[in-house]
Amino acid sequence: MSVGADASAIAIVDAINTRRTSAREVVTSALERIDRRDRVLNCFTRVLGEVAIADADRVDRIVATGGDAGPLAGVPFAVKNLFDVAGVTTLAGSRIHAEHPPAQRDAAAVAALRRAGAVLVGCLNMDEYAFGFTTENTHYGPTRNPHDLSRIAGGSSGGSAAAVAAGLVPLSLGSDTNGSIRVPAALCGVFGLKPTYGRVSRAGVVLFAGSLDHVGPFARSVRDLAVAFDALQGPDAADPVCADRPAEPTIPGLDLGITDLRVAVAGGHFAQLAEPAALAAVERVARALGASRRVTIADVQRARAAASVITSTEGAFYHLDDLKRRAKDFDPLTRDRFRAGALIPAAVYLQALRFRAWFAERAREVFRDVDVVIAPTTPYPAPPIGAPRTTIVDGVEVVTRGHLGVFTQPWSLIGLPVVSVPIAGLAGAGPLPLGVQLIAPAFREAHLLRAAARLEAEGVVAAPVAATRG
Amino acid sequence: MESTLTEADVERLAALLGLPLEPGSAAAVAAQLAGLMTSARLFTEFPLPDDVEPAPVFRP
Repeated sequence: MSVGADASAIAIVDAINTRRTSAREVVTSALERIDRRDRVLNCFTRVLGEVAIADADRVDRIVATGGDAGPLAGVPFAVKNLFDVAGVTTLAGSRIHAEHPPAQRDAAAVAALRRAGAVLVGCLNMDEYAFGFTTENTHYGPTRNPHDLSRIAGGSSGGSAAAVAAGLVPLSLGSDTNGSIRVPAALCGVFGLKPTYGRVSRAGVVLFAGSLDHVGPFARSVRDLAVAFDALQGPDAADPVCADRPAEPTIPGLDLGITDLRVAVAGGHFAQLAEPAALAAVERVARALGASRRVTIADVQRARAAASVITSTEGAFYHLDDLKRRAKDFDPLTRDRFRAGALIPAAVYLQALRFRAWFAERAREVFRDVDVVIAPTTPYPAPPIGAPRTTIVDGVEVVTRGHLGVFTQPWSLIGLPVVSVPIAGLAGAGPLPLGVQLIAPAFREAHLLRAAARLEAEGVVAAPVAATRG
Repeated sequence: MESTLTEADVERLAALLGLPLEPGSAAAVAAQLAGLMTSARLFTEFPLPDDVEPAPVFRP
């Protein structure tokens, strides 16, 4: 039996475990899809054909002898190219890192998925050093949105979202500092999970802004997202910020429903400067989850400013030596932003950290009597590749690319877990999908996945393989 | 109020850090830095209680 592009990860595992197909067959057909379609989509910067087939054969041998090959047995996956993969140079979207030697070992998250039986088939395109919301990478070319090839996939984990949306793989990994999982998930119409800060190890990941960096999965179904998250979560001494707290599996409670969850819609900042389609998506999700209450979180614009300062300062610091020695080798889309970050006074950076602590406390107050908050993921669907610098939203001129993070930055600033759920068929968005964020208190990913599962069961959100246009 | 930064300001700051800027690049860096400093006023001019710590506790 052949497994199609639309097969979910758990359907693949079931087909392999019941011998209706083999891991080799599944991985071979994923590699064929990548070969056939990625020349146009440009999701992959490296495809691991032989290694992937060898890994698939290992899964098949375990299944053949009656063993347990893991909860993701034979599932093809791919990772943003800032995750270390043993034997592969970690590009982090840059030309500079292309000169580095191959990684000695897998990043912790890559190793975790491989231990769960998943088969790594390649590495995915991104904005240079994760500094962007568009994946219009000058060195490696733009990743194209599978729903409309003339549009961006979002970023910085654009390859990760587009590869899943196009049905090249059912599962991928990305990173999120200001929205880099959630923005591309929304623009490509797939599910994306940014876990709580410190819930998933970042060991072996090229950091962008260490005090804001998270890693997490993309998938086309909630259950796939939850299986991947359960394989990824847990303590890791190799990542100094990884929480010393045992894993809390989400799969056992996934179908418990939401009757015990108090759900509210974020008002104020989160209901402004967005196209009507983005706000309509929120209303549709709110209705399905029975959320009639609105909550207002104060001073969100200040939080966004603090996130930008922390990101720019920490990001510039990581790359300061290269900025001094070889600035010409940076992507023109990041170079001057990194250099500006290097010049931010220490007092401003430290005040941003103080503001973050204060803002986290304000959010905790809101979550005292709410379990899940709903907000748009992006203010508009995917802009065209090479879009003008500014655009008009709600009568106000905004920076086209930067404004994509207007609703995501405040939550990553304070490390709260967020699932972006995909929604399509919205008036004004044409064939393009949008995303809605479900946000919970720290370490309450299970609540988010239960709410997302309810929305999926009711047909409110879905991530079908994209019908490519353009 | 927007932050105003000249190319000369940026060149002096960069020199302090030992960050070379090739000819003609200071204007673009100044524009980026001015944007960050303007938005930073949203929190630098916002009064916070004295007991708010800037970062998590360092644990040796």
